[in-house]
Amino acid sequence: MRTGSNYYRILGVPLDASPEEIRRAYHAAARQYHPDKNKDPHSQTQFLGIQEAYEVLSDSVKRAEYDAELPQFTQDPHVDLNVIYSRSKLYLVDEPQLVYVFVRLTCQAQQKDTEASPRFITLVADRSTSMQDERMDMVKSNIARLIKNLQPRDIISVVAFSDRAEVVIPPTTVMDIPQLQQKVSLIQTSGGTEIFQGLQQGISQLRTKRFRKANRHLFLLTDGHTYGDEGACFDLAEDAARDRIAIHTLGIGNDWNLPFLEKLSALSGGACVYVNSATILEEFLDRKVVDIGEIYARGVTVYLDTGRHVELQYAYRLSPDNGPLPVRGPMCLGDLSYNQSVEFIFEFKVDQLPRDEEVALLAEANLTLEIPASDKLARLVYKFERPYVENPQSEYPPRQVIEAMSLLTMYRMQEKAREEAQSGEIEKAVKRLQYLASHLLSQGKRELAHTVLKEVERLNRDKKYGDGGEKKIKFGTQALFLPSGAEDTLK
Amino acid sequence: MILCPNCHSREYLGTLFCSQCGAQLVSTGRLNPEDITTFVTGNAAYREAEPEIAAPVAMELESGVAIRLLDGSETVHVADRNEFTIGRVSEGQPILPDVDLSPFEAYSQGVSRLHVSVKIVNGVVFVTDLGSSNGTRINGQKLSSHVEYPLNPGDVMALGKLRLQIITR
Repeated sequence: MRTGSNYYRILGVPLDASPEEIRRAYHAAARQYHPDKNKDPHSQTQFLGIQEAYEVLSDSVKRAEYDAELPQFTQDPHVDLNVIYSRSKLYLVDEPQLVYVFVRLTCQAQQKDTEASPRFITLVADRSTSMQDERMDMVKSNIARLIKNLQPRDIISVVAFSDRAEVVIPPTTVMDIPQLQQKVSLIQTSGGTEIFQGLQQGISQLRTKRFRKANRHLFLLTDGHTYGDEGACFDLAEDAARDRIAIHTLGIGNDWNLPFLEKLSALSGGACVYVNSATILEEFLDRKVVDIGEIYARGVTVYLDTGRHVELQYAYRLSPDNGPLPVRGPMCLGDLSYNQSVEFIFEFKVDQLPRDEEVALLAEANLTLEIPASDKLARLVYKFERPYVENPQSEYPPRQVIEAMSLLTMYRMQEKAREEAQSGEIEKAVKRLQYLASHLLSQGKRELAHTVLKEVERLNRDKKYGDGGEKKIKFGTQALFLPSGAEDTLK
Repeated sequence: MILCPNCHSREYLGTLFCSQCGAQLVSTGRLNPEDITTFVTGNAAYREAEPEIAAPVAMELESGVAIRLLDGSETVHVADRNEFTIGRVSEGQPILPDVDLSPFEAYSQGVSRLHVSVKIVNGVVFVTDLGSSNGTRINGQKLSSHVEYPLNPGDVMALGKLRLQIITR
């Protein structure tokens, strides 16, 4: 990161600060760090930085030039960032150490009905032969239910695909519900599965110019694998994410491609759902319809610039939908709604501390979000940093961090077991799953523990997971993050 | 490096849970697996406490510590001290608490004469229940007496029925 890029931060003023505010901030900062007052070298560098920042920001021409280099963003007073570290200080030692950072984004604004953007929902339904009968019936009745739950100002579109895609309902406001439901009921099953075809058609529906300002969400419902077009699908999803279109993937039954659908939804901050009963589909869609109507900011994205000798080892989104985040590149966190916070947790490994400074910079986070109500892009810049000491006092980690990591540890154990089983290390996988089962039992999650132990038996016998076994365990551990801690998802 | 007591795997300093067997590697003062379950399933108490987090952060504090009473939304400032006791003053009491809550109906709310002690170490607030008759709760979870518990910013503490927050600068 260029050193000059945080002049506003150095002076501690907002991006839209008035010249008077800048002048006052400068005087306050300069007094504090003046070399006459402070002899230590750190203050001196600080003081120089303050001078440099003021020189640019106090000159309207230079400031305009400097601003032009910054992306066009405003700060948003309604978004609150709450950061909790696993400990108050790092240890000054010659070995690597871990530190966890829990972040919660909340919206402080109140929702006004007049401001709410309409929902624009596109359903992309797999109609390949394998979807025949029961599955297709479930999909159809759920689409009909979703249409009924929308409001007249909302927009719906439905695409069905096999090895090609057709538009069942073009983007339409939800006025004539029976007519829309009638169209859905006519979808027939036949053919193979080419997800790219459906996805492309679905996204192009959402790009309809007339409805550009709506909250655009795509739901992909499929029960199978797609072959050879995975990369092209990811490109589509990345492109959609840039336009703040969210893609949710719903895998029906046990045969769908888990890593593929999970990555596809993660690219745009969407959710990936394991649909092994009609209830799950129903509950998820019901919840989403509510959430999409209460969006304050869309496409919340975090860019992380780690400090020197610091590595982001793991990143996980805890809420509203939960799932792993990429440790490299932008992290899409989806939408921030009025009534729900967005929470995530980072695990940083610090290899070495910068002995020439007082604090260690873990990372600088650059958070962008789109505010539909004011039609603006907002940005938040935040530095994750910790002081360090030679003889740290023992302290208790904060509750939020422990609770999140306790659940995340179980999630990561099953991920590792899955990798181990895949690479043929059955013994290791078995051992890990046994540990997992005992943690689940000690937390009273008997049903999930039982599912895990059944898979242990299968692994021992068949050297692989049973039908849908790895999905049951994975989504079971993910369900623990939900407010209700609902285990029933596996019934 | 630290050694996992359960499976003897070597873990980085600062690790909270063993990467191999998932065992918890740090003492949390009050969290054991049962408590974690309470949080996940009985989410109501946790959610209720949340909206109150924002307010104290914005408050300007004259002294280092303040006690904010949630029911009357009054604030008691405590002179710069890192250790003090809270309770209520009554006649013939041998040891007086540093902070007297009797103006806030402490008696009818079930606050004991010496209810809790509060200690602030490196900006972290620790609370110890001093064997009070009606107990102390943090975000609805009852504390064992004479055991030190850390408070997080925004945590709601109840002495008997009297709910308050400890705010530090």
